[in-house]
Amino acid sequence: MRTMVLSVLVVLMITSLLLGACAAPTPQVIEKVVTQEVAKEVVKEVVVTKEVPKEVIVTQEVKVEVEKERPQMQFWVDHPFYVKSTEGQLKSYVLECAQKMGADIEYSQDTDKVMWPRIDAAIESKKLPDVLLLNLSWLPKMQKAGLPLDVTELVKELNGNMGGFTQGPLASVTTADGQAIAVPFLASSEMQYVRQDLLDAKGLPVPDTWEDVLKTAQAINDPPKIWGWGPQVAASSYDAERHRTAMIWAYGGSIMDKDGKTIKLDSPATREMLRVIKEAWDTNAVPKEILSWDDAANNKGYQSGQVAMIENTGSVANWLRDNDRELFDSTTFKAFPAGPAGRFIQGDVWVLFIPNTTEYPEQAQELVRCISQPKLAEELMTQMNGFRVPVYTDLTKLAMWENRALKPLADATPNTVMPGYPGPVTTVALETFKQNVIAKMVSRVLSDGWDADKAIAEAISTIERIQKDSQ
Amino acid sequence: MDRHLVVPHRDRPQGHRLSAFRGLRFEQTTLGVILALPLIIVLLGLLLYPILSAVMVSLQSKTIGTPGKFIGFGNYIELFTQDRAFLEVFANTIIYAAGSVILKTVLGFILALILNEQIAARGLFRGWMLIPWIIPTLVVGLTWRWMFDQSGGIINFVLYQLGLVDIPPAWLSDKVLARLAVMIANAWRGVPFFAITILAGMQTISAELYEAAEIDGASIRQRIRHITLPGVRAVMLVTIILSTIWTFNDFELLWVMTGGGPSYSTHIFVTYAYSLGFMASRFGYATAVSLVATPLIIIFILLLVPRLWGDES
Repeated sequence: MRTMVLSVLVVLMITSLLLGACAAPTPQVIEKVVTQEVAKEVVKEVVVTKEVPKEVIVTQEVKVEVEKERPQMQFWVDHPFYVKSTEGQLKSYVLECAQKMGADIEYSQDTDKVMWPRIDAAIESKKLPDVLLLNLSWLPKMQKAGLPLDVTELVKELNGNMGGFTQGPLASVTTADGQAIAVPFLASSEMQYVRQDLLDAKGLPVPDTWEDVLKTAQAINDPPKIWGWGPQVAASSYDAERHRTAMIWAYGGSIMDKDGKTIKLDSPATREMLRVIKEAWDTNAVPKEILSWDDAANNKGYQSGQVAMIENTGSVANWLRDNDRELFDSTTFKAFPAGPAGRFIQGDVWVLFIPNTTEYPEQAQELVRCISQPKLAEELMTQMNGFRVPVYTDLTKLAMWENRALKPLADATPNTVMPGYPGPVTTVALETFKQNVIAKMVSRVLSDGWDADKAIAEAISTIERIQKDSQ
Repeated sequence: MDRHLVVPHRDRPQGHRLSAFRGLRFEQTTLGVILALPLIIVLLGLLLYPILSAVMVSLQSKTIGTPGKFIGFGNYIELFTQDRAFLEVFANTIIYAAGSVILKTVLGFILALILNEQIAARGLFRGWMLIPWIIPTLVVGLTWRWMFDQSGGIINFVLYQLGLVDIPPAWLSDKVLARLAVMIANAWRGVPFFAITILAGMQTISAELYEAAEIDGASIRQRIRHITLPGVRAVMLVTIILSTIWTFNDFELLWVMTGGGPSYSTHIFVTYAYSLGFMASRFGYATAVSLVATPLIIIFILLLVPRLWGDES
């Protein structure tokens, strides 16, 4: 019996300890209320009487003279710059701007692997930082969760700087009803790298169209010493998604129609794109490993001399200039290949996003305004040296873009369009891009041996499902 | 007085000492249960809440940042009737788990046999053997990815230098070769675990059995078949169960080596669920994919565990 009584007592003690630990610490609540009152009025005599749980009445008289509370802000960067000095440069600007504004900033930057789950968790819990620098592919998720702050006025204001935003980046942050939900910050552009020495050896001209690229690749192909071409086709590659979509546009097709709602993927243009890639694959003009390449693998393929032609940003040119001068000199840096309908590049944009959950919407916009200043933009461009391109028109006219290894990137600005082209940048268009629908379609043809009809049908059903999900 | 102490029992002598002893046992049991109760509640909460929460999410059309919409078994129906990729993923998971575990079992057993013999520097080999098991999976994945690389990988270099191939095979871009490659990498990492556990089992077998069998003229094959294998059966079954569960959930290795490609040929439940959840933002659907694996593992365990108990009895 004694044991029973003892055990009941022990359980009661443990339970009360647990409940006690869960109870709200009432004195702290009162302190917080007082502090907030004081913060609103710079000098104020406040008498707070507050009824709190557990029937405890606390009356506290405060007579203080304090400065206005400094905003405690957070700035997250989900963008691997790859250029270390650029990371430091941006951070120092953000901190400097915060200093000017009288705010404290917690700056956080990490790789995709770390940042993506972190941002997802923040979206789910609606506990986002005050400003995020991220890829535009995040915008549909933010929109769906009802998180964007309307920054139309800020974008209008910044559009008056440095010749205004270039067309692709501006379109990417503007919704169908004309509202701006983010501020463009950086963009990417691409060009083609061609081994001029190999062309010269065969007396071949520099290829201009996708059809030329295929023929040239077959002509200079010499596996396993060197493969003619290294196109991106892997199902998990964003480069593959961009490049193959650009090919569809070049052949006169598109994924979506002008209205942004009708799916137009089942077209001769899509079949032409698949035909060119399949022919290159079947004739061994491309290494079979392209199906398992990640987004950096074509860089390595070209840099190591394993492939004779690739499409990429300025990162390969940077590497060649610093590490392999011979290959740099024997490379022709040229515009992205064209098709019967013209030359297209799918642009990628990094934006400054302010969630409407921020406690400091004014300060967040001020911070974005501050770090969008011309000086920083120019410095970042110079440091990244072609790895990224500007979102402001005037910056595409900097002297650095006259360099032969960078010129095709800046020249590509008029040919750069955004996901959803020729329609608006819709949630469906961005989700289609993010889910690699086109790259998976190509993978089906190359890896699974599907015919074009079957692969296109599967891609269309995926887009239809995305449309359904985004309603 | 506690009434349990005075309840008479028809079939047993009603001695005071025995009653007191039984009462004491009852009290101790009750006390034990009551004391353990908070912990049991916490543990049940920790175990059940995530499972029930996952089941609930799988019954919703849920994307990140939005409240879920209850759709019943809609996700499961879509998985089995409309999602062509899922059926491939289903088959891949079985092939990958079965292939890897068979490879690990066979190689682990052979390695354990070797290390159970009186060979030189046996202790050193036993230590070295564990290295693949110790190396982080991420490093294992990256290393094997590089080794299987078509252009610069050591495997193709050797094959090419030996004149066995004209054009080096693209291991990670061919559906069959990619599956084989990830199974080889998984086996390389997992063999030490099998070997060390089987070796531990072998060391419990009495040497006299082998001596007697040898005197009776049993060959090595017969000794392995009739003494070693039955002796390590229980430990092998436990190892197989554990390894199968781990292989079913082997995310890192596959993600680093192939990202699930080419096409969907090396996607298993976990990688597919990850890509659906974090790339396509389809949380409800991704959770349904993850949960489909659970009954499979349970069935597998239910099939093997009775054998294990039977063996012990």
